[in-house]
Amino acid sequence: MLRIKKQAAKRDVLGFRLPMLTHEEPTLDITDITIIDADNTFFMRMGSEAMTGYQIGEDHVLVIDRTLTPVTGSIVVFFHEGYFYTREYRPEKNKLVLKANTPAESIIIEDIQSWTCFGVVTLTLNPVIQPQHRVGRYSFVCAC
Amino acid sequence: MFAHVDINNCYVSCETLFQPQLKGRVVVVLSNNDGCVIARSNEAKAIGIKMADAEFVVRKVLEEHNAVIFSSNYALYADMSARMMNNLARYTYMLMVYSIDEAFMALGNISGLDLEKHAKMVSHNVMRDTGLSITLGVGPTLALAKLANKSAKKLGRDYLVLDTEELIANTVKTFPIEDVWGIGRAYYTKLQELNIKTAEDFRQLKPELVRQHMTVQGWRLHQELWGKPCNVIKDVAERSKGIESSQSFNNYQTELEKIEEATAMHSATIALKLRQQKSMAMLLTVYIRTNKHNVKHDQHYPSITVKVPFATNSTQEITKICVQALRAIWQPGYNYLKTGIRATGIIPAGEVQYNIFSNYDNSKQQMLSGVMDEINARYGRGALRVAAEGYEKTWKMKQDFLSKQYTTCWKDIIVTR
Repeated sequence: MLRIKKQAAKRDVLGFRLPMLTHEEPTLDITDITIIDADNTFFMRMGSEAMTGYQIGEDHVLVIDRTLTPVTGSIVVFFHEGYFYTREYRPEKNKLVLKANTPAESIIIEDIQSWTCFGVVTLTLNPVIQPQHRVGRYSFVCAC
Repeated sequence: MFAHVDINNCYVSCETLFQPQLKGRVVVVLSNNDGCVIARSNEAKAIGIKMADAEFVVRKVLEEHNAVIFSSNYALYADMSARMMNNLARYTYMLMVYSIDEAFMALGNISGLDLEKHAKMVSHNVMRDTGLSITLGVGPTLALAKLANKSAKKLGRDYLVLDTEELIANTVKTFPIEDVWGIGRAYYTKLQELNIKTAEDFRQLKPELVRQHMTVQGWRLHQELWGKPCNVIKDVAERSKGIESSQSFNNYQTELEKIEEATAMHSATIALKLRQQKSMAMLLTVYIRTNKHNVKHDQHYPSITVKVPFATNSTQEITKICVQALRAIWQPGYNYLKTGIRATGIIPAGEVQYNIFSNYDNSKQQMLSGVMDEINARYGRGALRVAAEGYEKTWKMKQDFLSKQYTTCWKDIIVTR
């Protein structure tokens, strides 16, 4: 899933070997801290404004990990009556509340057993690049 | 101890994971060109849809049951399969991937390990993490692990552990012989003559008698059913002996040019596969076929095998040779439906013999192929290709019911509400 995007220039040195080469460490890779379990991570996209109160806007990319079990306050993705939804997980005494900005957008599940979680959202990606920069390969920033 | 794991109704499970509303419905996945049924949901099995049923034969039944039909979405299945195998590898020191949806795991002989608990844990975790439902069978040999898996399915369970002779004896008693791994039609007929109906009947045969009636494979199976391991788990895939790439066209092709394009595409696929397994081919077979089911058409199934001067895995060389070979067998006036290439005489890339009298130098080809692979790995398969492959691909395969590439294409990721 993860591809090495960088192209390293050849650094074969004819004369003295660069002294820092022996101390070289791999450069930081954003996936170290964004995708913990690559084999069980899925990506989806937020398609509504229902979760703006949680800083999840329309078109944000959702990083979803299936290995985590939701806890109170988790942002979860689940399938409900024909659609996938992104909501906050709020279990209550005899029901499960899947909260959004407004009560109208929240979903209440009475039969908790029938509910299945697709995965827990660990991170969302919010593209803030300006339109005039969205050219060439920069048009790929969170574009999907 | 070994475990055999497979994904239940693999292709259908991959589709329903992303379209959960289809759970409980009749769902089938069709083969290349939407030809025949290659995967069925349990509901599809229940209404009598068989594996490899031709689509046009069962079309009416499928319509009656409001079935959901998919074309093969191999990008999705391959990605989900890789995720599954990577997950399984976490629970074993050796995993043998047996096919896209099947694997054997070595469990070792850890004293004090509660296999029942372990199997339950692996099955639960893998299903939660991948979203695909699996069945897991555990036994002292590969054959018994596979038998345990089948029994688990029959019992409607997620896993079954056969770790004592008592449990094994109880299970094989009622296990039909034709469902045992390695019993094909020929063996089955032979065993029926001997009045062997269950795996237990087969176990009761004397080893000498098994040897006499069946090959060493049969004898090994006999040993394995008694819990004596004969087959071993290999974690390194053997270099395949032959590589084939073929596909039917979406409609009849009479023009050489279009068939050449398809041949060039198959050449590229074969060359890439050869390079991926670090080998080269010495023989290339090109074939074209008309539709044998269409009695109104004249039939023509020519094929030609070319021995290449020097074993190769270069896209350019293979394309050149195969297109030339195709020109030699193609004849005007026939309606061709399928073309394919088979590479045989496969040797490791390091063992190529060069002719002392030739100045053939394949290092240039090697570098070119290397650059091509790098570019295609970065920008997607087929981004850089040989011009002979053509641009429009009007002959491309029929995939009328293709689902999205949820996990391999950014444009296709699911949008949530």
